[in-house]
Amino acid sequence: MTDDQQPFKQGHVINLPGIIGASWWRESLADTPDPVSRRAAIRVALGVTAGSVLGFGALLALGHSASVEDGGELSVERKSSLEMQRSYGWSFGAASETVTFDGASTRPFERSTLPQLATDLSPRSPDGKPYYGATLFESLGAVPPLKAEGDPENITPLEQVVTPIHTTDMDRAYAQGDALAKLLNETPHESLLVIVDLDGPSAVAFAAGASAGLAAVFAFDNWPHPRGVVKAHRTLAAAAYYQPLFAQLTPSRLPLLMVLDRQRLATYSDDATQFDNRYTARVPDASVLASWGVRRVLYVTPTASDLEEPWDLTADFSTYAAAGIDVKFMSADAISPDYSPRAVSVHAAPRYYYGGHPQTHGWFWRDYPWARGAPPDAEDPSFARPGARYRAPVQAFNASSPTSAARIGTVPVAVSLTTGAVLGAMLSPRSGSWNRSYGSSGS
Amino acid sequence: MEPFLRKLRQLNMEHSIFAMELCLRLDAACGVQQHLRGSLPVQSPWLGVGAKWQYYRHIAQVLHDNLHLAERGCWDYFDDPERAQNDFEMWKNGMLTAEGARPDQRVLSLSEPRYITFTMAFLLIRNSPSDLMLRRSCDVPQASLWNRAVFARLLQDFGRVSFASVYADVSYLIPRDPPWALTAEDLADPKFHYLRSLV
Repeated sequence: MTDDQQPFKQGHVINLPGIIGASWWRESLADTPDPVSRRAAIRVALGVTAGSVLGFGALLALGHSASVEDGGELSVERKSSLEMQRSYGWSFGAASETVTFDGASTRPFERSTLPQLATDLSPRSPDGKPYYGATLFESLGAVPPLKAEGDPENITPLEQVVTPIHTTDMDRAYAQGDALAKLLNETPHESLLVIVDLDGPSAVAFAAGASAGLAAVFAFDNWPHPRGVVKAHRTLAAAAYYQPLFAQLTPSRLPLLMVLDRQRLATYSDDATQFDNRYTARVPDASVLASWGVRRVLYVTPTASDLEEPWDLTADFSTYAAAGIDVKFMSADAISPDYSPRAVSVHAAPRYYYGGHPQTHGWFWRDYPWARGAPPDAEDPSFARPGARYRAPVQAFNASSPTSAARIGTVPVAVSLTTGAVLGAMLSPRSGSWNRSYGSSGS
Repeated sequence: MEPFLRKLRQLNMEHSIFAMELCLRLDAACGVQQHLRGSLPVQSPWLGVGAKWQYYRHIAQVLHDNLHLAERGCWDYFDDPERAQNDFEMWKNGMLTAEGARPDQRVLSLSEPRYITFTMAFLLIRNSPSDLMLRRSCDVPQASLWNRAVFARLLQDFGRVSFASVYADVSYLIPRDPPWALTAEDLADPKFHYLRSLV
């Protein structure tokens, strides 16, 4: 037989705008009889020959690496990260890893209530129910129906892992939400929708603080993952902290507060070391707002320097503008604590006001002229607030959407070509290139 | 042969690894990139040993002729069978996970340098004539590892490899489409630190 009759068989092909290539292997060489007999080979594999010890773990590793090497038997496909987690467990591809909770709360906590989180945090207003994204909360009680061949370890259920957190950032966001809700309650105003877009734990805390005046609609459409680029486990842990508060709320017709995690589009760069649990936001469209009689949208950002919405909201804000709905930004830190000597002496904890003082609080209605009737008397606060002058793009123009948007929330997965079964995620213990970084070269 | 036993066979065949990656500046006409892209036999489910040799000889020639555009690179040769297997997986995973590719495109501009990388890795049958030839070629003093002249010689010698002595190979080009070419900012990422500046 000539060498050309023992050709290379193509194993993997990648053909994307950013990379093109392929791997090949010589199937015929793998099939060549070798000096080790079949029985001897099995003995070696089972670790029964003198000097050879191959335990069960080594056998598993052998099976995995050989599967990967055996290019003809698998392909690599991008699949929905969420779909893979639902099928194979929240830590798909990293079963031996877990998540950590900085700022763990010391308050007594009833773990047995965690599976009710999705119910306890559901919208109390019927208008909000279609926009409720309970995906994150549903991760707690999920039981994966399948097990990936290449990821054989048992996965600890998330409800046994999550610990409530309570941080100073959350306290501040809670106070800001509380102050905004009171401000809206105190002055008659046109119907509006508030969208709060802060880092997950702060967004949850803001909603908790505002719960007396605004009906929260959480929209968290991902699951945590040990290597998740979105630290969704912290959002979940913050939600667990405020669960008792939300559980006590009764049905209401309060104005809606859409609650978004600003980390949902976190920077993502490496398939091998990061898990892409990003997602895009979903908010009511202009026709829905019109049906509710809402003509104003207040979009709450972390700081005054956030002058543009994330790209996943651009089209929505454009259509709002096209429909005559006024969208304005307000930074959460526009609502700040009153540290004046009198306030500090009267109250144990500082109170939060628009502009940081009671006398500037009512100026909100001048920056956002949505009050019915004359706005309350107030002093002009001195801080910069460019968000009040924000104008949404008038066309449905989404040029800022990255070309990789279609890959958001997907993970490369090894799939058996023989059976179609998912073998595992293509997450490596260490990135290939990173591993090479400090290796030696040469002979 | 049963798949499990075939996998065991692979363990009993010892390998060496030779790998090379070059990072070249994208020329204005994207000529090298297009040449390399056009040469990649991604549409061929099977390739004979002769066709393999022709393909890589051509690639080696293109890279050799354009070494003046190469700013960074690395090469490896290891005759430790376990390391060979593991390193080959790393190089291959670098393709499968597309970890070196940009996440999005950026318009090409004459004012901004852009880069391509070409990567190739080979599992050689250990102690085969071609393996022994490469082992000798790769016996380079530490101080000279990243000399452009060393890369040139290795590319020349690589043209003498018989693919009858090669068990598996992988080759890939970043990017396929020029607007996805890497930027200097991309290359500054720690994940590219294994690419050494050529001297």
